Amino acid sequence: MKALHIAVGLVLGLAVLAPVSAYVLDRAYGETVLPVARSAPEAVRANKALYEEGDSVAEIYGVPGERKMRVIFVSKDLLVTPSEDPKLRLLLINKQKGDNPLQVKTLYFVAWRVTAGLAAVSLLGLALLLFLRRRRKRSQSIPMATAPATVPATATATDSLS
Amino acid sequence: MRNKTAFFALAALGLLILPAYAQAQTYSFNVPTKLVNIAFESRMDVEDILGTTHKVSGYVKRSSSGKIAFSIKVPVSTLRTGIAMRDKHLRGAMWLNAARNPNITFKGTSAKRLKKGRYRVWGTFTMRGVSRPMTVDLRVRKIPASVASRAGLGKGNWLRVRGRFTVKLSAHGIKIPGMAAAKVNDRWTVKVSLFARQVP
Repeated sequence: MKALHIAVGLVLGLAVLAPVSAYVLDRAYGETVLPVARSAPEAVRANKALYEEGDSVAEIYGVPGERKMRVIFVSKDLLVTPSEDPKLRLLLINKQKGDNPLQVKTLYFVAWRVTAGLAAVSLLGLALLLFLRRRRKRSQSIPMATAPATVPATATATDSLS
Repeated sequence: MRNKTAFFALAALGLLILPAYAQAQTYSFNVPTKLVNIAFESRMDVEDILGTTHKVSGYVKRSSSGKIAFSIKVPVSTLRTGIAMRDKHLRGAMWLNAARNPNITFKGTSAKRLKKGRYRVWGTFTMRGVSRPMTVDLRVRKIPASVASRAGLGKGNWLRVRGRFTVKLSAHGIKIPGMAAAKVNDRWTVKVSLFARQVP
């Protein structure tokens, strides 16, 4: 019973910890970047030569994604701050080489899934605890109700004598 | 007399120059793979899938009458998303069915110049054996031979072609399985950045 109490507590704790860990990891190691399917150096040189004011800076380096994304644990070698627009943070990825940075939204998705799973397990554990407690209470109360002390011990003796 | 000579000289020059302008031009996309960059993207709440290919063949032709023809072909086997298992699934029968339909194609049959360097191309996009009409806006830049040579593209005249369009998977007979529904969008954005060399 005590072991079950500890197990349920642990599972509940882990359920809470999963999204908190995801949040902490995101704050500590997350980066907001614009993903760019990297182009070869020859293409980048040509793009730089053809670049005009008002053109997309990210397109110099490759094919940019539609929007920025938050990624985590990315290699610093893949991050570029272009001199043409120092406010931009580009993540140059080569899908042909298997680059697949971990996205923060995937991390949160997994964390919430873990939380949901662990919450379900801890609910089952709580239900089991309640059931066991009730059964124990009942088993404690039944012997008291049918205790031989309520039956006069002498009565049987008297009856048998008569 | 002097005016007459000048007129004939100009006329002769015009006759020499005009055919050159009206001449048909063909640019080929059959260039080294390092000069090809096509990216496709699916955005969902769980994850964004970004994939690329660097293999393409095709051409852009401008006839002497000014008509533009555009053709592009991408082998499905070259699409990569960064996860080998996912790429295998992408080529599978449930998705792009590369065994039966090895190529994705776009054939542009007519084009209109919107403004300098901007063209709208109307054509047919074929994926998984299903063809659908498609309109693509392209940004086209001529690359001077000197710039091309300096950048390492090679000799001759070059074009840079960039464009963006969306593809609806369900319109091409792809039904996203339930277990992937949260991860894969039915609408994919495709962006191309290509270099084409003029064919002599």
